[in-house]
Amino acid sequence: MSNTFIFKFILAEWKKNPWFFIKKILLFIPVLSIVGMFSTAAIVPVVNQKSFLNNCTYDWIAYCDEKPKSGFAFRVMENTTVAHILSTDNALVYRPQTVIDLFIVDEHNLYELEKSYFNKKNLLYGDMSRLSTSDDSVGIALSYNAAKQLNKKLGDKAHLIIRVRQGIDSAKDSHANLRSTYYPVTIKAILKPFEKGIGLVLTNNKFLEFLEKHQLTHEIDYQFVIFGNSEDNHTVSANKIVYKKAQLSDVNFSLSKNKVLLIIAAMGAVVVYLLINREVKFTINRRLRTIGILLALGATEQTLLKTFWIEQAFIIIVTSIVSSIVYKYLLMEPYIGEYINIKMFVTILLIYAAIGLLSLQIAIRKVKTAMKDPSLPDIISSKPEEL
Amino acid sequence: MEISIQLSQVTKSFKTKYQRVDLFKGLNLDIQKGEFVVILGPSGSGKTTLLYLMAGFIKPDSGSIVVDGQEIAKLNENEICRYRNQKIGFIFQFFNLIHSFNAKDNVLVPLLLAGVDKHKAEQRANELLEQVGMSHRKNHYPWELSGGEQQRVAIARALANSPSIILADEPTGNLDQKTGETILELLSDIHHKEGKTIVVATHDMKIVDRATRVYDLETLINT
Repeated sequence: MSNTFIFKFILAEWKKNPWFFIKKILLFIPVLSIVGMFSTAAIVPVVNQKSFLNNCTYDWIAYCDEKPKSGFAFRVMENTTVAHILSTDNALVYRPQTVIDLFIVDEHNLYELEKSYFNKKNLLYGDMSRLSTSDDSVGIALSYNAAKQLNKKLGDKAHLIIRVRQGIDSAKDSHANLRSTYYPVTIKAILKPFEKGIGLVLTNNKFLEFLEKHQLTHEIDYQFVIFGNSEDNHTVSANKIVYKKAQLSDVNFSLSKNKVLLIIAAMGAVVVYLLINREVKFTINRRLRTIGILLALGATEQTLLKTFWIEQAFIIIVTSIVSSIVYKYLLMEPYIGEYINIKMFVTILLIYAAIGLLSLQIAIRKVKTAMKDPSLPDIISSKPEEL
Repeated sequence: MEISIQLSQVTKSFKTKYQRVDLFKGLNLDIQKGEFVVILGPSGSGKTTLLYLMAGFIKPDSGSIVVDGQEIAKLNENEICRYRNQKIGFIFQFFNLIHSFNAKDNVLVPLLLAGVDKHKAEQRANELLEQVGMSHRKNHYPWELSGGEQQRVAIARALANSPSIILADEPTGNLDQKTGETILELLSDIHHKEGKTIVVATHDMKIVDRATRVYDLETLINT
């Protein structure tokens, strides 16, 4: 096999027209990066929940296997929950009208209605271990970026405000007194929206004691924080939806992937194939005369295929590396950058390379077709453009 | 004398958009070893096709082409590539140098394709460029060379693997008269010194003087 020829040819082509190669690399990078971004986002809920289950030192898990329909309730699905920060006193409170809400409820169904501090873009995940824990506080599940922002503002300590209206028929009495109880919170966790999922929180005996001391236990259905949506009404009894840690193995969690994002990622992979196919075709057309000359000089089909393959594969590998860097540092860093460790980075790189090389393997058939092109003898005997 | 190329009852036709064109119907041609054969014919008469058949670029519809005792239509893909690489040196009207390669690299191509060691191949390329008077331009790219210079490089490339047969398709067709003369001189020189079989397809009557045998293609076709 004439490897010397192959590398000499590829280098000569690079040298002659570097822009031709750079253009390809620049074309592939955004497409591959976006494929990575969507595919990562698609699997985030699964990774996130698994990561959460593995890492969280939780005592309880609230799980709902059906959408509650009426009454005062917590939804543990679709829009997951996160705590919010009050700009006035830096306290952590729940926000019912936002995508993510942290609920502490009283018997009169009262809760905060202020606008959310966080929004959807924060609904990614991160590394819980970076946040410290404390026996004196209750852990609250947050999106990673929400936690990061809170951390910057408060350190890893915040306060949960439990507000209970006092007085008979207080739910209808807007002038009833609000009794606010503060409890220290350790920002603990990470969550991502999912359909029919889980909400987790760390609690401890001290918190229960605290609730008892402040006479809150009888007012709250659950002694822990549960995640949900303000519009939902809860009719399922606590016994049915609350599991202890030891019971988790019996729970069938629905760890659904985000199918729309997966479809977008798959479409991206198809676009990569179409681009590579187009580029191979374009390169062949541009080099049809050269293919003819090389065949006339005795190049074998294998040599020509290998030449094209190595050249294009090199472009794909370079593109994959650059795309992985773009993916990590430009696209994902603001959201889950710290989660993309070296293992994840290499995985993404390998996925990119696999998509590219697989596409190339299919597209390279066009070179075989070109070598059998009956017009090749006419092409090499015709006057070239440059003469 | 030993026969170098023998065409027996060769037929070749082409399909155009509207009709089928029979180019050769039962063409017979014998070329002896070491001959300098000129095949004359007007444009479109099938000169290039005849050379391509001899070189194994295209296959005849029927009949046989035997080169140095080998029926080339029966060779498989790899064997036909080796045949083109080792046994045939082809010179094109439009030179057909590879544009990303300089003169020396162009001469290196058949050698590297044959798997010749890079060092030996470079040595051989330098010798050949010296032989065709192009060693001073060996690092120049095709677009930096004149037509005559490009054809000299193409001749060096055709000689790279010391083929026994040189096929030249209108080698002076794209050159001015004076440059054409020097190219013919070079081919004659190779014929005399190296005793190679040379087949030149042309419509240029001036080449006839240098030939050991001249065929008129139209006569051949109609015989």
